[in-house]
Amino acid sequence: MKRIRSKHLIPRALLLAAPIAALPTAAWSSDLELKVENVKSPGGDIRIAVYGSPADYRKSAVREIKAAAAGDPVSIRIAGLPAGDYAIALFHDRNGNEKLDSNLMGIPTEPYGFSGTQRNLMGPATWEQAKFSVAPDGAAVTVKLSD
Amino acid sequence: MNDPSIARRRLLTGAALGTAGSIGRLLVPAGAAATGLGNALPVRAGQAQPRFDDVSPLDAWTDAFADVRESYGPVQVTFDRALPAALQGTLYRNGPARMQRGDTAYRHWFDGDGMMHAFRMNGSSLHHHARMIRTDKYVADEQAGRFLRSGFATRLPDALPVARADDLNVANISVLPLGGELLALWEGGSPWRVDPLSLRTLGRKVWSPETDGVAFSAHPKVDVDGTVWSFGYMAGSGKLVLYRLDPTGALRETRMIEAPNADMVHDFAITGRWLVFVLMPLVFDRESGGGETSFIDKYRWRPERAGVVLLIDKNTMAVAHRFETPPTAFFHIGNAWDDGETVRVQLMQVDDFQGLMGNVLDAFRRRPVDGPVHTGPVEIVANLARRQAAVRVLSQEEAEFPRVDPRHLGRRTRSLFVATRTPSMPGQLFGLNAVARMDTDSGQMQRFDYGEETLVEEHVFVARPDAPEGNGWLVGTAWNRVTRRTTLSVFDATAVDAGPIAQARLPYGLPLGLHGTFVAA
Repeated sequence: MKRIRSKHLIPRALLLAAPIAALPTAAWSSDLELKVENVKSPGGDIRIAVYGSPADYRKSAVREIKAAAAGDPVSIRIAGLPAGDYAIALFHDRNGNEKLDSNLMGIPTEPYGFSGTQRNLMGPATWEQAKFSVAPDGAAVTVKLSD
Repeated sequence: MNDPSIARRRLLTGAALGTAGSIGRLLVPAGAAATGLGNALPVRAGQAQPRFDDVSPLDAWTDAFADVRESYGPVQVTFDRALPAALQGTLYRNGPARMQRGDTAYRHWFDGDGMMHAFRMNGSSLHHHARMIRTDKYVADEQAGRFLRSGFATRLPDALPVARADDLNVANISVLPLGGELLALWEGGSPWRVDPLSLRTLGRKVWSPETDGVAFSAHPKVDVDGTVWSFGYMAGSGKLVLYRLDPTGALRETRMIEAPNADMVHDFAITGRWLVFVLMPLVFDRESGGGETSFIDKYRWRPERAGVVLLIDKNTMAVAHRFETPPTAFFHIGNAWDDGETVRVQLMQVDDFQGLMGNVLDAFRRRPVDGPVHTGPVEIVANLARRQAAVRVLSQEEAEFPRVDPRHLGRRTRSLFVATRTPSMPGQLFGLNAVARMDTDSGQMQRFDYGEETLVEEHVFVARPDAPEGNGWLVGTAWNRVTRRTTLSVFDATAVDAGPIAQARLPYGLPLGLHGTFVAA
């Protein structure tokens, strides 16, 4: 089983790009309404990576977003995404150390989730499992955090 | 939909529908029959008290797990003869217990939720108490009123996703008394803490952030100095985690080692100098069958690959030697020791791993065992100078659930205590019906046959204080499939063939369990 590498999930350099999410919506782009469910303990942040292609999946995100894990669910609008296929990986950074904590075997010890409806999360979802489409008029996606 | 288990299940469902009207013994969940999803078994309902001459051996395993309660006892019963004065204490034992919830039944023994038992022996009385181990998995299922996730061998329709191994942790294999608590052990995830007096579940055991959720074996080894050695594996990772705990239960060291063939590692051994792993060419293919097969169905026996013996230096916890062996399937190790040049490891070799798993599935489908798979004692002899390892058969007899004198673990022993099988056992019935002391020097077995009506469970060796190796008692339970009652028996370990020296019969039958340990009073 491959571990989820937190450095790939949320590359440090791209954290600087997070404010992009707050930019005004461009005319040619759409909004994604993301709902994160199963936020079992309030506090810390939901850290979200949005990927735009299979080649970049879990390597280089088109968006990196951080949202306070204030309640359950947490709803986030990700504005200005060109229509197309995307996949989301996210985790609940409960201790605010900006990384997905994991044990010796590389298994996350903080809740995480992927877009899509794969049945078995023992290991990261594939692009095919996680991908969804954003239409010109936007999209709504729900991701359930692991227990 | 090319999973053969689905085809088998459809056959079974058809057969069940054909006979349900006449004998009213099987209920088939209509939804499951219509969709053909999952591979869970239909639940039997309306257990009638059996007529003595009307009990089929084929019903044994489903009967043993029918109507399992949340708890048993506490009850006190009297031994038929007084116990030896020096034999006072508690046999703690774990095992799969809950196999059904709602209209769904697991199809494999190893899927069942664990139950912790305490058999307290005092003078002439036996005090028994048992409780379900309330893992997160158990509590979530209980709240939902159904099994939520597919387990080791049962794939459920509408199963929730599994994010980490502990989502499936049934804590059902064995028990380790440690630091004033009991640890209920699975092998794919965390130990679960249980109070030794009340048997209440106290929570998941986490030693450190690094080991949080890392697998901890069901067969840790308590060294002669009290050090506890254990390991964890994760199928597909190519790694083993080693644990060294001090006698108080504090974690002193962990080490990650590269390990080929570490997709299923149930047991290991210690000697004076080494930790010994015998790794099987049993390969986990995560992609096999996609989401359509259960965990066990993703394993393949690959005899064209060699087995591997790893010797790990206890001082450095690093791999010092690696040998190839003939591929050897097994679950359990007896004892192991080294004499400088050679390392000997006794293990209970399974002739056909996947065949044995098929035997278990047959037992829970009330089918005649399709070619009972032999399991018997062999010895792996690894020669350090020649860098070779060979397999030597110790006996042709059936042998499982090996136990040795714990005072001599990792040192040379002659007494190996096992559960075995005699010709009085109905041929089509999976399981064991006898216990034995085996002299591993001569291969000779001294056997007690419980007879055709009984399935035996593990019998644990309890040392007589200050006595030589192998001198003490053998304590264990057996379940009578006709009366559906469980009896605890005590043998003189030096005269097992003389039969029990004391027995106590419980007022109920208990689900057939796995491993235990004795804690002297």
